[in-house]
Amino acid sequence: MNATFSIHRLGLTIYKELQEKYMIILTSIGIILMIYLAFWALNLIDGEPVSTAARAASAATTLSIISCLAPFFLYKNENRRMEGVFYAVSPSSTLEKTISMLVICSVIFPLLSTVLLMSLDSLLTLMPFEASYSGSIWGSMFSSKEYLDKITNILNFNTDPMSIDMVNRMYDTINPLSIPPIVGLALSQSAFVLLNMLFRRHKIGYTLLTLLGIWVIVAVILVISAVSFFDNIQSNPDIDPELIYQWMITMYKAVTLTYYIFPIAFWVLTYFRIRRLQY
Amino acid sequence: MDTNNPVVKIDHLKFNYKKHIVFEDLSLEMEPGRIYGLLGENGVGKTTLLRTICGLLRAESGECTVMGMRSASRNPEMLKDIYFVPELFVAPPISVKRFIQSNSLLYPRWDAAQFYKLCLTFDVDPSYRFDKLSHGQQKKALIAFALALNTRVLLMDEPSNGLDIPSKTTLRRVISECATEDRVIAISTHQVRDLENLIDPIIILDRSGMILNANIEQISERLLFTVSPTPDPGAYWSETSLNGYYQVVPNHDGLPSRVNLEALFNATLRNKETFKKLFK
Repeated sequence: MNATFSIHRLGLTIYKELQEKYMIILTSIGIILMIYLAFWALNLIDGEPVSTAARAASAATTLSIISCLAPFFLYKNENRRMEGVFYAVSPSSTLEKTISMLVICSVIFPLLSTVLLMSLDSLLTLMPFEASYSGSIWGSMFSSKEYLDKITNILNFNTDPMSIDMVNRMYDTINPLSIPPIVGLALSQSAFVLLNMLFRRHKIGYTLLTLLGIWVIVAVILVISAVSFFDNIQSNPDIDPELIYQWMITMYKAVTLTYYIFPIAFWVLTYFRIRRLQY
Repeated sequence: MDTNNPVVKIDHLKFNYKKHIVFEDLSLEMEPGRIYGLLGENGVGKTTLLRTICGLLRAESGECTVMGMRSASRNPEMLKDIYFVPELFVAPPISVKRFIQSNSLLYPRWDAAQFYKLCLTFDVDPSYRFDKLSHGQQKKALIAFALALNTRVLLMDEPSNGLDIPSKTTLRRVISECATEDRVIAISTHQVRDLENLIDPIIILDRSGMILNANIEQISERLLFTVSPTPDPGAYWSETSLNGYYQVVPNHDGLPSRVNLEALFNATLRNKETFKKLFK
């Protein structure tokens, strides 16, 4: 049998991990559903109707947060010296362990949570209360349309020096490149998975501090580049608007690319971390 | 299956924890059908050796292979035939039954009936939550699981620690019952009395490496464990007892005697260089 990968072994590894973790998965989903029910009950008391978009947004936010926190509950002990011995010596390859983690954290858990949460929402729409929920959130939950609208709204902030035509062109270029929210979730979750495997103690605290640190550094770099960019525009009033357009498109493409590259890079790093467990 | 070839082979192993050197040049082989006893004072590297064999630690240089595969690469083909029972472990918050159901999936020679039989012998109820059992009960459950996996290599780190006296007797019995011709069992301990009459060969480690690696027959050929009314000036080790002096002396005349592991251990630590030459 192949030492690196065997589909039979992968199946057994996923099944083994699910057998060990199913209670944690169900408890976490139970908590999400309780939060959502509490949210619904508050709306009932308030008496104000809640739009489908608002419900979809709150459900998506809850699911994103819980999906990012899932690795901390599901793989809390695997990288610890004493608690992680059984995981390290279990007879599956590093690749199989990584794929199993990916399947459980990024597919099974979010999928199950989403389906159950949306089913609960649908059930709540059937409740015969006044000011209860109405309409389905199934269609708008992970739509990228709102995200795209936000982008185009930002780009529309000033039609001078850019013409309406340029904004339209930009929309047409960005549209096929637009980042679906699911990709954003994959990026943040993969970062949380990696940091969960890197830190042995105080995992959530250290992860949040690390991400905050990275966010500050990225924000500083972006502010500096934006300032220098606008300084350039001010000092060269005759600058060709086409150049600005090209620069913004390139920037957008670069950001889009990182959204797709970083999750892969984080999972590759997680693979190497699992390979070095206990060493 | 060839039962003469060594299953575990350690070749010029060098291992250190930062500046603390544990092994400088350790070489040894473990053959199937035997229960190796790994003895040594605290901190000489017994646990490190077991963890290196099962791939939990990676040596600085040298090589450790299990069934011809480098242990540090943690090949699944190797891992499915090796199991490590740590001295201290954190039991997962699931029932023992659930633990064995999930963890046994990847071991081809797992025998569930044998596990439940061993649980009965050890008086452990597998329906209990693993983490809610006492330390001794947890250890017995894990040992029962490890034995029922029927892996070719079974490594146990201080298995008798935390067990009550009747359980220690049961432990000796079940280990000897589970020792088969194709299986290597290595047990590390510093409580030599707990494993008396079970382990053979004996490996004694110290900070300079391995002092002794010999089977009981070789030891009794070279050493005489005897009681005499007066102390022998040539004794490797002696201790006063009710009948006189219990001593470990050179066995020049090839007299038979019963090897006392505690006396052997003390004699070895006092005569490291002599014993290294004696058992070379």
